[in-house]
Amino acid sequence: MDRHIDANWVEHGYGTRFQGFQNLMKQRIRDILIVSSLYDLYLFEEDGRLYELIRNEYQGLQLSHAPELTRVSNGYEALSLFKDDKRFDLVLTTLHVEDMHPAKFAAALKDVAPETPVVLLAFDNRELADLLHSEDVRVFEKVFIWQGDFRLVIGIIKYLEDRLNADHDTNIVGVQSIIVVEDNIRFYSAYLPIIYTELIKQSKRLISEGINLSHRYLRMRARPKILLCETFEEALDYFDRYEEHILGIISDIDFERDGKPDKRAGVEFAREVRSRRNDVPVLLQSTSPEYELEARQIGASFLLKGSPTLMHDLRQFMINNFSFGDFVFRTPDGTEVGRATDLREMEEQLKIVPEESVRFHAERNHFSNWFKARTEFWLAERVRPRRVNDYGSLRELRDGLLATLRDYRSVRQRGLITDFQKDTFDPAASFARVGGGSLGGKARGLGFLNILVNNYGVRDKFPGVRIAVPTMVVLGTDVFDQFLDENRLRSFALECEDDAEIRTRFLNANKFSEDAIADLMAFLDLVHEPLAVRSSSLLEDSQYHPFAGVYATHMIPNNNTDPFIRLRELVNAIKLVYASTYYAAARDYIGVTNYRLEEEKMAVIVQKTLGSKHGVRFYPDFSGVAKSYNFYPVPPQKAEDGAASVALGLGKMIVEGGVSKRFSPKYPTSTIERYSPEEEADLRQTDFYALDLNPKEISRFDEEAFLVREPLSAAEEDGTLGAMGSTYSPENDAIYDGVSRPGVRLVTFAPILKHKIFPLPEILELILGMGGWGMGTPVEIEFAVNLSTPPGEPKEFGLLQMRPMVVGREAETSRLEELDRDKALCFSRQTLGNGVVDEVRHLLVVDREAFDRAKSRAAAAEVGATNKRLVANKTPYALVGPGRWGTLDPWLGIPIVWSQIAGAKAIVEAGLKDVAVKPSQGSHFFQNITSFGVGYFTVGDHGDESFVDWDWIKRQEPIESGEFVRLYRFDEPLTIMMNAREKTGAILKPGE
Amino acid sequence: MARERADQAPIERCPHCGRDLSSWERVLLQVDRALVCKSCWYRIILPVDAERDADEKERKR
Repeated sequence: MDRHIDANWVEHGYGTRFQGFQNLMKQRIRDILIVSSLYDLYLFEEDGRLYELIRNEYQGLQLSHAPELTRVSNGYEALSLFKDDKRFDLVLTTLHVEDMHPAKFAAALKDVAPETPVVLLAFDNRELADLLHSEDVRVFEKVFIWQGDFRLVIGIIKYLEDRLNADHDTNIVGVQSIIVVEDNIRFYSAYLPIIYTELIKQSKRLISEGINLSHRYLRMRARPKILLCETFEEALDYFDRYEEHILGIISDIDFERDGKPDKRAGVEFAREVRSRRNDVPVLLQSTSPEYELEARQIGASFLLKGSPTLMHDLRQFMINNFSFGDFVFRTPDGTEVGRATDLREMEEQLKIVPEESVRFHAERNHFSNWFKARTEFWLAERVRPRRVNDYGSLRELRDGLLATLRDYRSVRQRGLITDFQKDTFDPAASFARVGGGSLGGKARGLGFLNILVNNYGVRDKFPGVRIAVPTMVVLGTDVFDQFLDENRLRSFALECEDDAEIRTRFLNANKFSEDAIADLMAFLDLVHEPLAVRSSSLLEDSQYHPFAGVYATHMIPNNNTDPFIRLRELVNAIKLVYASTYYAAARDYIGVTNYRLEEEKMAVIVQKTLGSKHGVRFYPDFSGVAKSYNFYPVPPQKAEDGAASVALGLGKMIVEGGVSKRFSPKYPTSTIERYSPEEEADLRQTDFYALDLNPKEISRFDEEAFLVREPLSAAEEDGTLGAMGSTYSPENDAIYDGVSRPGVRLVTFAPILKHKIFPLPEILELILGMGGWGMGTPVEIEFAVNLSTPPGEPKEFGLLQMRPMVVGREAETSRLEELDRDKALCFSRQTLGNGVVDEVRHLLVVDREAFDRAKSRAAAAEVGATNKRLVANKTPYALVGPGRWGTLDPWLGIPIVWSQIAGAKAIVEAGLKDVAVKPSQGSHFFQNITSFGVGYFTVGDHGDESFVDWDWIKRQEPIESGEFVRLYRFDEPLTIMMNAREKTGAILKPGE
Repeated sequence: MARERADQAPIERCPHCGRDLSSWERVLLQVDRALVCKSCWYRIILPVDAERDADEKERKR
């Protein structure tokens, strides 16, 4: 596909497939003024029900916004309304206006409201004939004869709307038009309702084929337009302007040309049309049968106006020639050999109908016309010039048509969230919904990413790389609600505080939505790759409370030979995600927000895991997190340049704060290492996470059930280390790029960052720019990369999540430079957070001298227990400790999770005695501390003035002491001061 | 609102202030055919297909 499907339709900021459709029919008739005698209105109203009839008609045809009707009985009153600034889009008047002749009324209205069309409705020919002879009817936009069919009013409205919108809609989307040439008022008054009703019925037929609800209703707006005209010149002008988009012509034969009546005007017009476009169907009508032969010679159809079945025949012509209804495959002799109702059937029939039928229709452009009639404009354009000569053979013509159809059905839903249907779901690239309700925050973010990637041509921007959101289905929150209600779990879950009990009850709950089960089975029929089952709660990834890492993610191998076991594993994983809504971690998190746990609902994402199979392991070559705002920029980097962290294998390593490679996408080779090669080797990634594909009995179904942690040697064995690896030579105390030498393997990403074997920095720069633009705020993304694709296939860059970052708040800044350092118990030049907090009287300290890295988990437990008591008493505190808070690696700091320190208002990360640890950038932990406005101070051996006054702390008397933890309480509050712009902060001693 | 009639070569810098456009800004400009430079607020506008076609027709007459 050499041109993006939406190239002309994407608007600034949000380019969905149907943004173009949303721009159709912009000019509408919404307010109509009827100027008529009461009796005339009574005739229209059918016992007072005109408004109701029109509304019913609009609703029945599933048109939106039936117009409002206002009636007045005299011209003076009508003109007064306009003078009082009341505006109407259309004025309908009859010949019986109380106080003035309608022509005079129309002329007077032109002075007041020149843009408002005035349409005359006459009741019979004699009355009309008098008018036409005695008055200039050019003051009226159009004159119609009322023949008892209230649908004429709808026809008039649509005719005017079509005239207003034809130019724009044809240019933007390629909406088609039917030119109707008829100067006889009685005939066009009769035709208009018939033609419009048929068009709108056709549009209604297409509704069932929409890929989602928006698509279905928006297609109504792309229905063909009617361009009604009365003279040869008007007709030719329309044809010249919209030639490429003319669906057909319905024309009288006898009408004006060059200002004079011309008995053959219609024939000449038809001849002109057919000479330029022999695929445009033309219907000629006349009261005289002598023109029939000539019409057929031109290739036009013919109807006798005097025929008793004229209207029926007109309808049939439209159905047969305007490609409404089924596509009927015929052979050249007219024998029907197949029939297709929709695109899917078209594809099926194309495979089996005789070749001569394919040629017959292709050479007459029937396929293109049928697609256009179904508002599939892009597809129509693609298949239009298909002649046998364009291909080597008929077989190639058929294959070409089939390939175009298949590609189109796949591409048209790309970037959209469709309702899951097995026969339209593309396992390679789909995003579908199961069940109703919300999609939740994570899925919303992914849906948004999906739209941007597809609508802005990012997907294939880098040669040899495919950027995409991996295929997924989302179970909407209604499925969650149904699960809770049918299994009577709601009250239990809200009241139970035991995670294990919640887990057991949810796993054992045996009622699950049957519709969802059926869809999941169909999904598993199509997708046999490992799956990630992820939370997508209502509150997740919101602007200020990302809920990062609070809920569960389960990965399942999805490779059992028994499909019911695969289904059971999937449903169990979904149930456990549901259960995590009520775990302690979630409660503690929500407890410090303004939300209530009972407000939370869970949607679940079931997503193909990006990666490749290596023996019995499945994993992506590497995963990462990138942010568009860097809290610790090292010159020449700026904060706005962002930062990324990557690690070999599954992303679990990164999001939980394990060892990873950090770099700036803008300066990928600028690795200002503060460590010697030996220290770099000491702090290396030594293992990685993968999914275990070995069949096994699971004794405990949890997040880790199917994961394995493998050494780097396994990656080297799989051939995946090479793209990321370097080798440390202890003999030379040097690091060499690549893994060809003997030595200690390091994951440095040098082949990618220095030798550019994969455009990772460029992709991240683009995606972060896109995300920040789309969300209007700095963003954090999670991604995974599969380099181990089969030969000839592009490498895969998978977008797994995008959420807004919380980057500082508007709060007062403080002047810290003038601070007397003796007054501070902590001062830092690497501080996150902003503002002043002066309500904290408690200090929780993990003693640096007493701390033992080997017992960091025990220290974490002590901190968590103390936190729990302080939170229960609603007591905020400041926390000080050595090493990295929230690290996955217990040797680098204190491995707490967020809920264990949720009550802290400030956290100080002081350096370990014996090792320099890179400051936390984090991910989940980090996001949460900034979203809650928790000040984060880093104090270490950075060569700046940062410090913690440990001596002062030692001199204070704790109110509680544990093995590692001391709790202090002060009568006067500590003052916590943070300046985000200067990244400087201090915690003042009590009373200072 | 100033208007810049650019040729078909991709634009990599703001024609007004010379600032390098980010990779995403270049994508936006290519797709939306219009972009406001965040540095100098100059509106870069590229001709859309219809205008290019109209120009082509004009040239051919």
